[in-house]
Amino acid sequence: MGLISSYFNQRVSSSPLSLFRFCFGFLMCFSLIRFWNKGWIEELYLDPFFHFSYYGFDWIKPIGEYTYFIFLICFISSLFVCVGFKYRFSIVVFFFSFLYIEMMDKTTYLNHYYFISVLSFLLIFLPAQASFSLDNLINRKRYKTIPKWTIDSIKLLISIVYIYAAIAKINSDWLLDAMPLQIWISSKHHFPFLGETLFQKEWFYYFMSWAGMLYDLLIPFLLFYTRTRLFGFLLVVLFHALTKLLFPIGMFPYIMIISAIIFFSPKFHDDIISKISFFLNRIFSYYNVLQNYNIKLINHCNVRKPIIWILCCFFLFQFLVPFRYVLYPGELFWHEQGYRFSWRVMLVEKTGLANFKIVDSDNGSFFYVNNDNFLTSFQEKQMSFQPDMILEYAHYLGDYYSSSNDMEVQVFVDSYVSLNGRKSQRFIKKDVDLYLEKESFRNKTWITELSDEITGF
Amino acid sequence: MCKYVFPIALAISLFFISCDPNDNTDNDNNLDLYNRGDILLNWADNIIIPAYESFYSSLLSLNEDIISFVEDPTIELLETVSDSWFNAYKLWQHVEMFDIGYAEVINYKGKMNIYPTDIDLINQNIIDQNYDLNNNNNFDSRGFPAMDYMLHGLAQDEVSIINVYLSDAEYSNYLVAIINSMIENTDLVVQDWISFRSEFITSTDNTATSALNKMTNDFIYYFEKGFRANKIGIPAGIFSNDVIPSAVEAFYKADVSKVLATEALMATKNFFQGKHFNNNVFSPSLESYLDELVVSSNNNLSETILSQFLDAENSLAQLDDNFITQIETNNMQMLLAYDAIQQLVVSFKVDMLQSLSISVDYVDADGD
Repeated sequence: MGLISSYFNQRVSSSPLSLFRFCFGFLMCFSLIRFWNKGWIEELYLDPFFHFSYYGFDWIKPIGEYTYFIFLICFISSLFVCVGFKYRFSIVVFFFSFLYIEMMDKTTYLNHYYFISVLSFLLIFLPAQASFSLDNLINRKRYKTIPKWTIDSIKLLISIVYIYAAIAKINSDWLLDAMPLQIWISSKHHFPFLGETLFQKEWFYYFMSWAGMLYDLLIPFLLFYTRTRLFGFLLVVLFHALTKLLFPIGMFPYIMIISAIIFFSPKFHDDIISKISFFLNRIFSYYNVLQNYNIKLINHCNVRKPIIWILCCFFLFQFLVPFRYVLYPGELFWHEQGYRFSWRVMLVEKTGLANFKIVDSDNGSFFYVNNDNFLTSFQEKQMSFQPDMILEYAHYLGDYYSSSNDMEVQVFVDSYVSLNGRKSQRFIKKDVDLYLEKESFRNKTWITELSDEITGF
Repeated sequence: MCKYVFPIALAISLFFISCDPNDNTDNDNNLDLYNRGDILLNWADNIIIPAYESFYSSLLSLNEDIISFVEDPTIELLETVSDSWFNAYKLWQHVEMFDIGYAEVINYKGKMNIYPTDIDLINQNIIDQNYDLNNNNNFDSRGFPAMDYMLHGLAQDEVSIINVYLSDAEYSNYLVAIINSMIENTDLVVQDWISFRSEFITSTDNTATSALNKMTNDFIYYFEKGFRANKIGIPAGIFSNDVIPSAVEAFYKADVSKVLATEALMATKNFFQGKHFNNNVFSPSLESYLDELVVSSNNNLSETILSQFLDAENSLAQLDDNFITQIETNNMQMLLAYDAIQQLVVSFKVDMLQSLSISVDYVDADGD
């Protein structure tokens, strides 16, 4: 008990957390500009007239042209987080605006968006404005140290991401069949130098599968120990640069590389911050801005005790949620019940096709729906292999046709999915009227069973 | 030690960024293990270009027959034109899927074969004498379906049709305008292939814009929409509450709908197998490619697809020559044919695309 309380009393330089805040805010600014600039707000949130919601959150939808406003709020708050202006308020606003954006349409779910949501939630409770922030100037207070556990909590979260990603890779498809890396890597035949050589070698797929799993498993430990940290960090850079080049993975590699910096020593962060501060001071003194401006250096920034309890619950949740899939029978990769929010990053290759059949329950006459009339090709693609989205869309179609045709309808789906190079097989039982099935956390019995077994986690 | 971290990290990043595949325009493929270049070469030189040439010359002879006919409209000459139209229509089934290059730019297939045709618009055009068939307002009053109406649908029988042409020269003019627009657009596409060929055969990358991926996607898109939906599904009422016999291809000629559909199925099979257009030689194509890829060869995917082609051919053969008759008497047979064809769509869109790792839509978005 003494050990624990002495751990929670340990103090450490506030620089690592402050620099992390700065980098995080900066990357978020950049990501949001990139997202806006690519026209994705319009393409993903304004153009489609149907949106896939998370269970229980169907009230979270894009709000037409005002959706840009949400992005603007998110952008401004991330800018404020970056410079540490009204930090606590800004990070709360960022968390909620980002969460809202992510929950507007399930189609765009990515593990790295989830990571950002979770990380920004954690940051709400941490004193990341203790130094190197505008708040220091405004409040005329700067803190030298913060509790060590605040920095460790970020390290812990990053470690969870890596280690759970490693655990997810311990399965027969990934390790024994080199799937789906085999499909992905061999198809990158146009890659310079390596595309037609290394990328076509069978041993390379196995090497990359095992290396990927071991990398994810070991990286937190390599980063944790001083002697291996530099090596670990180089691996982080190398690995993420490689994934960036091979896959359309967006900002994720940058976020993971920058996040890994927090594992470096407080001294390392002190040096960086003092260099930047020195540079900034030069500029400000040149303009005589900060003349006679006294900032009181306070020794330690305390964090209130209840926060520790909140974060304990938070981490307990993080430990357990990825394992919720064990509550569902059948193959996780197939039915995807408990697949999201579990750091299963680039783990399976799924291709699907789903044709919906609307049956007039009075006379049995039927027709098939042209999905193009309701969904964007991106939505259709994502929906075609994710049962909860198939169900939600089936209900939308049922509502649409029963009101527009004024009849009692049944909705069936003719769907096929191929998983990790297996031959395609029927995905949803074809004689189940999906319009009668309700979304819930209960096992979805209308999903077929994968006619093959994947062992492992 | 730490001060070296960032220079080294930066150097590694720069190395990777400098060999970013997007910057690379060099397509020299000496080490092409799967002969992707050979596939494109085969498609271009042995299938696409010969098919276009053959189709183009069929349009030219159709044109000659139309000229003779409009000079002297007789039943005999009308039948000659109809035969040439049918012959060209069959050859068209071999090129409609090549919606790439200039064909895509000018929406070639939209200019040639949108059915059902709009006979009210055609008659209005004939009365107004003021129409531009290249204008997209006329998308359903031109090409093969419009000509089908002009040759077989203007009146009850051939004698009455001849009389229409004899009584009003504007009908002849419209017929000539249709064939002229068809030849003009085909000429543009055929001419463009002379220069487009070299770009096409070297574009072997696995990217959204490479010829290999685009052609594969075009092929699947055609199979699903142009063939499965347009020729069978829509008329058989798959996408509507009721059957729509008026939506069959060559509605006015009527008794050739099965031949056209069979021809189209054969064309897609030939393309899949890499069969030369002009002879019985098979060169690299999707079939051989799938046999070489580990995943699809383990699954015997190409074997499955060929047996599904056989099923589709057999189920088409069960149908009446005239799909209108088939739909009105026993639509169940049409639905069975549709189901057989649908199995191929599953194999193409799910199994084949996964094996090739070609994305079906190319959404510009991040993955993880």
